Amino acid sequence: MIMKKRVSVILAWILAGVGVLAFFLPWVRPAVQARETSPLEVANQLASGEDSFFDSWIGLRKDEWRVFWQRPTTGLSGYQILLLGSDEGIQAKQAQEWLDAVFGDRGGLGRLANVLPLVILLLTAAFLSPRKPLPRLFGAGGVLLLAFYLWGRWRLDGTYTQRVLAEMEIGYGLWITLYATLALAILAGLRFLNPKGKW
Amino acid sequence: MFRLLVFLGITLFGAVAPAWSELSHKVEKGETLFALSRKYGVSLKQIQEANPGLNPQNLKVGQTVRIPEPASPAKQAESPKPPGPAPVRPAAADNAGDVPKGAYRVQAGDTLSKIATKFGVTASQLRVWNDLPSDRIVLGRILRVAPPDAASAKGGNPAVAEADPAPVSAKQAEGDKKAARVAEPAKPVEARAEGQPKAPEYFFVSKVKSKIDGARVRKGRWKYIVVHHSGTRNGNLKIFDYYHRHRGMENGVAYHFVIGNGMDSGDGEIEVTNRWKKQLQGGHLASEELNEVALGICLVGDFNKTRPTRKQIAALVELIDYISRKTGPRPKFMVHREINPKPTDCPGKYFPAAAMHRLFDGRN
Repeated sequence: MIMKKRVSVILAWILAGVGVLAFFLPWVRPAVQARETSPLEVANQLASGEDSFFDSWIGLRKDEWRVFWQRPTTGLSGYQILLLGSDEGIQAKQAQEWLDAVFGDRGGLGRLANVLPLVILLLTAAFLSPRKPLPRLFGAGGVLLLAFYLWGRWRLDGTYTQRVLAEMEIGYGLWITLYATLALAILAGLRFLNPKGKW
Repeated sequence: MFRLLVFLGITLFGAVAPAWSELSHKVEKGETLFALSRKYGVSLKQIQEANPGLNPQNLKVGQTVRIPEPASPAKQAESPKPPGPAPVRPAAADNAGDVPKGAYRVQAGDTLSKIATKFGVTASQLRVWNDLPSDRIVLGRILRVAPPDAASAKGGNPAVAEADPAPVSAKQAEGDKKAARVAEPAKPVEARAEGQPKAPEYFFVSKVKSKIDGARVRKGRWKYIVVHHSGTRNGNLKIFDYYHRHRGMENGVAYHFVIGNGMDSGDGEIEVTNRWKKQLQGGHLASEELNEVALGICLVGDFNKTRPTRKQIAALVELIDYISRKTGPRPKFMVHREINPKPTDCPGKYFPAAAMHRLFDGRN
């Protein structure tokens, strides 16, 4: 029975691990052609295409897919963004201004939110581990994770225009964090609905 | 007998309930007379007539305003039309006759899903075809109810191609104009790039290029380009012009340009005002000196509640880029709250001011 339950537990730990790893991968970075594009190109990008529900809440837009794997080592990771607040250096200040232009993060809430996925990922993995099922914890963890995923997508969707204007791209690290969170939310939800399931 | 009484009761209630009796409205924070006129579908003049002595400039929170019955279509036709403004609330008309095939005029009680069911399509299709940001629809608005492809296959746009070529009334012309707007949403660049040179081109500006180019601009006069939001859910040049004239601005609408949000004008549609055409000073800042050197661009919407549409921002970027080439040295990009001598939150917290500065500041 324990062996059968390990599937979900192992999966939960893998997802939590991926989420943690993605925290150290690029989350945001300047576009390749930053400061060289004409405002008209920016206008053209904004005017092209309409967002569907899928684009906004589940998948990626075409231009986001296009840059997903590009320059995998370039950009600020979630961890670096977290450190920006305490760094007094000019480059850090510039980077912070750059993030402010997109996310309007002046109160530090955004930085706090960066830590949140880590905490939730670990918590959920812990919820999924006990031998004795704890359905309420699964439920609460699932809701928290889903809320974080939706909050992240809402934030990214709402700042798309700013990102285009500020010539900024979202790196694959942030996407992976979000999708790992969503997958964990689904897993926790399934365990909540079926706590005695043999998986 | 009982059934008969119930039937009579329901019938009588049904007959009486929709009738609009004069009602009163308690003014809430941030509301203006103009907003009330939009909310209840009556004109400013009608409200003022129903409330003699009411000062539109000095509405107080909690004050009660009497809302008169909106004029019936027949009544509206008889009464002299105020100069300029578009009808505040287009009278619900029978769909047959005044709306081209493939389009539908929104009637009282309609919802997007009801209309979708009526025409055998889905609400989301209607949203896409009509560029609607949400399920909310405005009474009297003409909606496309057939796919654009079907229309082009028939040799044109369903909303305009089969329109009666005979002379039309002003109301009908307005309806047709709306239909045309509905039928021609701003096309994505990807779609229009085929077979055309790849050089950046103005899409939103190109539609009003002649109006912009017609102005005799003195190089170096305009030092700032100031962006505002209207603070209203909808509106267009005509409506703002009427409102500003009503407030005593003899040159009409305070801005040089108005950019629509798809409600009363097209999404991203640029409207050029007389202040640009005649190169008059603006009326959008609380300083005569600044108005003399600052161009005003108003984006329709309340950006404390909603975000500007992408097409609005795209049109704004194009417009700033284009007029900067005409004004000589690129005017400095500002938003209202950054330059106005009096405190204001315009253009709202959701306007991407910082990102716009990143795009324009430091460019020549």
